[in-house]
Amino acid sequence: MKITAQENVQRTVTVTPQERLDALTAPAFRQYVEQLLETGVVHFIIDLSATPFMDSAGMAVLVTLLRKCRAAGGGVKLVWPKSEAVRRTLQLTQFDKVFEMI
Amino acid sequence: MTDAELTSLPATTLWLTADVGHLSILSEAVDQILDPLTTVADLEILKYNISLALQELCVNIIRHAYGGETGTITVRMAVEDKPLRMEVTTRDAGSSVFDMMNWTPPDLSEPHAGGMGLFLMQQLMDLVEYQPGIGNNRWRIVKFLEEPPPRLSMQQVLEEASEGVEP
Repeated sequence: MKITAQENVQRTVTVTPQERLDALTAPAFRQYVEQLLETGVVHFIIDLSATPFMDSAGMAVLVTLLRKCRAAGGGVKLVWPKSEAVRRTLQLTQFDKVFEMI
Repeated sequence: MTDAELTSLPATTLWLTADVGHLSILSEAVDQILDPLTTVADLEILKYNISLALQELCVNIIRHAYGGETGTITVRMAVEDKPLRMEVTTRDAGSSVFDMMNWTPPDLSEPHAGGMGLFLMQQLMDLVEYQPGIGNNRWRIVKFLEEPPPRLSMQQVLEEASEGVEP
């Protein structure tokens, strides 16, 4: 009996912003995840559990990352924020429909 | 609210440099104004939503009205009564006028990186008004902190409140 085996390992990186994700901090966050993209990472978990505030500039970084990852065959999952207000913002913008929430 | 509380309804005015690095003070100011209103329901959510709407407004002014030019934004925040509400007005001298009439909300069914700022403002606040002017653009955003009287619609209340506001 001939048996072949192939091991598939999917590299997933979890990124956890722990401060405000807004117009001021979004450029640094974008640069951080794009550097990971350049190293070949296409599967991300963005852990928003400790993110106290997120505006549309922060959301734009997440959307851009999602598009790039999907184009490369990957994806982005978001961890629900602990902050009820941030959770509601994600629901209001239907990010919870566009992204896989965990 | 008691009469004593009503007479001490807070208001504050900030003069901000049109730079995103100076916006974190907005959340602090909103918190300071609303923290005394301990009887308002869901106060933490309200504070966050007003701070986020104001953040979006100021970022739009910096990026679009001023378009990278230097300038200032005057932000006046006040709690008004009957019905209890947070009124925020901004003035800026940005040279670019926003075409609000032709603005369309983003399609939320698709991943969307742009156009979310005004959408969030409109969703989070009860009123968003824009009045362009040469060197004097004015925004007014309002959030009710309690339900308006049943006989009045929100729009009626806001129209009555607008009558006393300078153009």
